[in-house]
Amino acid sequence: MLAAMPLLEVDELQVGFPLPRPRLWAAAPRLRAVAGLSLSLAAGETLGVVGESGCGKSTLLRALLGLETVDAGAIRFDGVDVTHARGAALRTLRRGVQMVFQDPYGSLNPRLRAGQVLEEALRANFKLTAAERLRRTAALLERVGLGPALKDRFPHELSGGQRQRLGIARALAVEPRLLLADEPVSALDVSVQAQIINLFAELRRDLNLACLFIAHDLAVVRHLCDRVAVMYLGRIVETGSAAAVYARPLHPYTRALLAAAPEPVAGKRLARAPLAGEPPSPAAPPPGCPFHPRCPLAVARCRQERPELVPAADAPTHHAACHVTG
Amino acid sequence: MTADSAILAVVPEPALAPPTAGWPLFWRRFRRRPLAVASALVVLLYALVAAGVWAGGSLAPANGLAVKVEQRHLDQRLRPPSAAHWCGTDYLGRDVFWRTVYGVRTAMYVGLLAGVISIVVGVVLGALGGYFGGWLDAFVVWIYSTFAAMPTLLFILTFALLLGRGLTPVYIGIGITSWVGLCRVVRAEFMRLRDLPYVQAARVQGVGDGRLIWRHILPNTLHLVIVFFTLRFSLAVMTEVIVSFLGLGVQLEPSWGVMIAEAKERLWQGVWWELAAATAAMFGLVLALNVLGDALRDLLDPRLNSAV
Repeated sequence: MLAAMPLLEVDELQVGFPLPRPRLWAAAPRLRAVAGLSLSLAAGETLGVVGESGCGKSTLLRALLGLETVDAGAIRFDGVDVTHARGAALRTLRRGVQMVFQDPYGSLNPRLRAGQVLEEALRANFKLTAAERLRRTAALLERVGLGPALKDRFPHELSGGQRQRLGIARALAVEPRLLLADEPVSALDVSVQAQIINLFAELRRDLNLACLFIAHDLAVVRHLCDRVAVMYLGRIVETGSAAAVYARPLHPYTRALLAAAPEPVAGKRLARAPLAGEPPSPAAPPPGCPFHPRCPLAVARCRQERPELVPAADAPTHHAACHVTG
Repeated sequence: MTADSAILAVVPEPALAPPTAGWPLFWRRFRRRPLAVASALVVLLYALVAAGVWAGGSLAPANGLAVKVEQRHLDQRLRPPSAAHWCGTDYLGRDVFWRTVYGVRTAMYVGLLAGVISIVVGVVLGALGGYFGGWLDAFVVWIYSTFAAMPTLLFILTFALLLGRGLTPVYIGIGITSWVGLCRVVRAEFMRLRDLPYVQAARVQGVGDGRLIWRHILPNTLHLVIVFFTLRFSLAVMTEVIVSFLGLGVQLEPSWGVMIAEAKERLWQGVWWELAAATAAMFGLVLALNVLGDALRDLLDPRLNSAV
């Protein structure tokens, strides 16, 4: 985090969607799905982003791939500003950044066989002979633990786990340096989730891939990630090494998340601090700290002034945005 | 990490059914629908008859079908069906059965060409507008609104003036005015499908627009095209009837349209067989095409055959 230039740098990113106009001639208000978010990721590092549904996690990933229009802020990949990349610049970005999608069913074309999916990715990015493409296809299938016989299967002939392996192989075909994963296991059976998580761990180790891993399952993030970022209403409220955040969560929201997570180890349980209510709508975020309406520790200052993400007093890499605990 | 290894114990996944998909699956399901098979056979029969007439008319003109169809026996006018003339004779003493058979060629010719023209125009414009959006889409909407406002007959008349009478203005006129409906649905489907997860996944992979349109989106609109084609086909056959009645369509060859127009004049005299033969032939083709189109839609629509 110190010397080397980060592979990915996100600076005060804002991504929004237009809302219906309240009156015919009024300007359309925007829903800020990502409301001023900054993060950085070094090569080979794995960052887990956690947060409730609707907090802007998926929008963040889509913006990183150029699938959403950025309102403000900047995204730099490998030192190059790719915030509004189009055409050739966008293609270059997508050579370096690939994504594993959440839904292994919807993200595979039902009309393409497994081998064709991989060959398509290879053909779009490399000039290869047919023989070389076949060889690489076989290698990719093996890499993600799919047998060579599955090459001729259609997606509906694959199990959920196999589909997600194919989705990973497809992303790897482009040979990216950063892999984005949007809740890659949430659509799978628990037993299969473990296999896919192990596969991610293997890939990370063997290929030195940087990984941005979105999850709402805290155990998954803890198992896979070097660092964790906790997102609330389009902003990061706490970030730090996985060990530090899990051992000593600073932000009350992180504490609530950890307390709400089912703990597989008996007796190891944090004090319960159940979260009341729904997260506020990002269309009308509350003033001050966005978490204050649900926060058990909120004081008067929280209602007026939004806390900045500042390092903890005793741990310079552990940041939190809270007036009370920070 | 020791705590986590407990959750990450790997359980093998259940075994899978043998692979069954694609065209073999389609054939297997198609064969199980007797109505679909029957209508496909009927359409095939019409196609064979058309091909036979075409071969018989052009390969052996001296004593071929064309001559036989045009043979006039003025002493045998308006005879009811008999062993010699299965469907009777018309007001010039020509054999109605053979004229009906010959009319298959005209119908198939107009139906196929008009259908192909309107599919090409409708799919290309709908796909471009729906996929790219923006000014291109606005242009497509403007074009199809303009064409929707113009009557088919006007186009046929215009092309008849430009190209001379015959079948050419008929199929061109039908083709370039009847694509609007298909263009609308294809455009709407493309707008919906361009943001499908797997289309976005392929786009993120660097797959080009052309391949996304052709390989990932267009196959999902195939059922619309097939249904549309069968309906256009029958519409074209019917339009040909009107145009031939007006004297703009086929000139010397028999067509169902000409036959119906002529038969209408003498129906009050009790001459029912000419009208019956032509409409029955048309009814058979149109019905078979519609049943077939329906069955194909059921089999090809990805949203209707989720059960695999």
